[in-house]
Amino acid sequence: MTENLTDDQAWEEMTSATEERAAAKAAAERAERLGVISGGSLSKGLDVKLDRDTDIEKLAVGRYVVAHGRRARFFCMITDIALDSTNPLIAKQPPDMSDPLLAEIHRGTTTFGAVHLSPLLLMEESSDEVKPIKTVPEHFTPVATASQAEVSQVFGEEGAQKVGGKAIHNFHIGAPLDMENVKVTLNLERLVERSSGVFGKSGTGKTFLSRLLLAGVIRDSVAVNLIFDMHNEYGWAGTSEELGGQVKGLKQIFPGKVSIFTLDDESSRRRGSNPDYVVNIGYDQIVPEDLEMLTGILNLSEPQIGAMYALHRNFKEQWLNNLLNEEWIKAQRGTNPDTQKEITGLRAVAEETGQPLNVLAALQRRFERMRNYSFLKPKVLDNSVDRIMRYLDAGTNIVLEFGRYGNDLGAYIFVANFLTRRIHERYVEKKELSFGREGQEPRHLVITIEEAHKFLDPAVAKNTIFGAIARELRKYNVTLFIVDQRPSGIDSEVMSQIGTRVTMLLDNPEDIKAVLSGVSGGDALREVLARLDTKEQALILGHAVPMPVVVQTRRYDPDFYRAMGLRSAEELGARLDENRAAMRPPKDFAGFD
Amino acid sequence: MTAQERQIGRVLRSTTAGYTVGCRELTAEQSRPMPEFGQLVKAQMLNGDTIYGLIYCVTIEDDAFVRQLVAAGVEEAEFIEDQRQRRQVPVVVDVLTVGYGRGDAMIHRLPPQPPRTLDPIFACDGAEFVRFTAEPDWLRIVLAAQDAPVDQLIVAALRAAAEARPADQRQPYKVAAGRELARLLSLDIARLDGILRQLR
Repeated sequence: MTENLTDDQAWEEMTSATEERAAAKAAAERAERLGVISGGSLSKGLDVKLDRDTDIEKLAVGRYVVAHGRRARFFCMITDIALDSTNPLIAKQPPDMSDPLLAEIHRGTTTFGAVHLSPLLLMEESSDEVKPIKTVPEHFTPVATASQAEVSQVFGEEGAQKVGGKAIHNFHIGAPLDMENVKVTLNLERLVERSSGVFGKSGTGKTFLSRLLLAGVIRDSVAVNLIFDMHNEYGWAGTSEELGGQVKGLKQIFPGKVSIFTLDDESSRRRGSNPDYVVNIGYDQIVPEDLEMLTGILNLSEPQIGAMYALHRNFKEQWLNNLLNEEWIKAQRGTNPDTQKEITGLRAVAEETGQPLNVLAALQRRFERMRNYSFLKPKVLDNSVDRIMRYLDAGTNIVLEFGRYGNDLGAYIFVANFLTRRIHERYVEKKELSFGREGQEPRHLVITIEEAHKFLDPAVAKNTIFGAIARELRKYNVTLFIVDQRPSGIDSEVMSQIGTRVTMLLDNPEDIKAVLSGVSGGDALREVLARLDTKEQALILGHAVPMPVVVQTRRYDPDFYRAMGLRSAEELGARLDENRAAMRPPKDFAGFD
Repeated sequence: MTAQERQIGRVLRSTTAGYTVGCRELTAEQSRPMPEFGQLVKAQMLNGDTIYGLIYCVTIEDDAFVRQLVAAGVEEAEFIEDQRQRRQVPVVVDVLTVGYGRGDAMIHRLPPQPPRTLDPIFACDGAEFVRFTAEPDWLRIVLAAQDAPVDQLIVAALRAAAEARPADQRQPYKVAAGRELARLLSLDIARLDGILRQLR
């Protein structure tokens, strides 16, 4: 009896679970608490007066914080950090801070830290849903650093999920600043759904980040990729400035899912990348539209472009072959309509096509340069476009290495434009077929181009295939993944269609402006963007993330290879041995009756 | 020390905001406490309330005998000591009311009634001083005082209050009180700085 009584007493004295949870929650909030909302507005952002115990030197712009309002939590990002005082005079008459007593009294009372927040999202207590922000928390709402649970609620758990009957894949891209253990994810479906871009000045790690993102897309088979690999960094191996060595390319991580195509077989073999196919383009496959984009690089004038079309009209697919064929030109015969004398050579061609002689001669000289491209042949047996389409249809990702032509912008633009135009045509065809007869929809294709501003600069974007792809969005299941260091050089109309922008450090104001154009709260982000580290930090904004996010990007290292599913030879061997052991009969096994 | 022994004098006149106490002499007669600037004193009310105040001015007035002694050039020590110990007019001590106690509660507001004339006034002991100064709201009443040397009074009272605490609590107490002052005096940085410097 007495025992029961003491039990009862013990029960009475025990704190209830609710109380315990409340106490734990309060303690956690106190630990992470930074300060209280002291003012601000939805459009200009919120001001926070920091608590005395908050160490301002440990804060950083870009960090996530949550304002715990009465009805909802407000997910915000720190965009500015400031020093403030209750009385401006104190700045003019600084107290004697060498005295510990005075210092302790003044710190946090007359002088205090303040941060500026950009409110981003609203999390209601009752639901897991995250909503766009439409109001602000009230005065003196406590503000605390965001927890992993809160960050996950906003960005989504890492891995594959089903949301509303549709599969989505969230890819771990990195951690928020100062929050190493928190994972920020990016929705891969949304990343490829519209065109995306990776921007940053050279040396900031654009290629690493792009390869990281593409690896995510390939692993989860979210889309099939065609990568125009200008500097041979994606296919077999990439160089690492930091590690001073090589990192694995996509083919090494996903041997079964990636094929390497090359324009320069020799170079690829020298680098050990062992290409699956060598791309060749025949003169007879080239049409004037393919060259029109090179206007700037080949220095073509309007009359020369006109002449190209005229030649094509007259000689059909043989036009370029003929123009570059000395023998053929020499063999041309015609008569001068004025003098009725016989004329030969280029003069005769000029007469036949109705183009001025000097224009044709100039055109010939310009095209001389193309003879240096070994991948251009007067005649080829195989159609590279067919081959590429076959691979893409089968879901194999293609990395097209440029070898030594990577340094030749003309070659890069020509080939990228040549192939993309044709592949896009096929996609349009297939998509229309699928509409008409409910046939199979083509796999979503993502085309990666580097030095994108050369393709998308305002002068050419209007009439190139890349401008068209960027503008028409996902209509034909083809989107771009552009990698560029001069976003200001990209046509603003195209830029506005870039769904997801991943930006490393940019310091040119024009570039910053271009990247942030059309983004709400752009001014606040400008501060963040200009203060990114020179390496491995990126600002991600747009379609694939619910709100702009600054991340310390994930490292591209053996851990990453493993996460992508790569297993070392030893590991595979060990597993094989394990399986063998499991299948071996026990020692006393005498056989079946 | 009994309450009787802690008595420093009796009320001469009083108002809601403060009162004046008359003491017999300034020099200590055995163990009797001397009125000190910044000291916490109390008066007991009939309804049980205790009115607390801070001593902010001690006045020793002259009288006819003092004048005569000085005028006559008397130098004998006994005359002087006799004059000091048997005064004709009392030593006048001005007290600023800073709150009252009701039951266990310390209330930092002005009391409903002032002490009556000839009420005995006692010095508070350290424990009571600590209890009264646990919350810093009394500082606001002192800052609003009209005639008292407010800044000096705050410094003296805070130092005494800190001194009444155990050694390890003195610095934290000064910091907490200093922060309250910083809040109250945020518009007058020079004054705040002056007080805090003397608090060190």
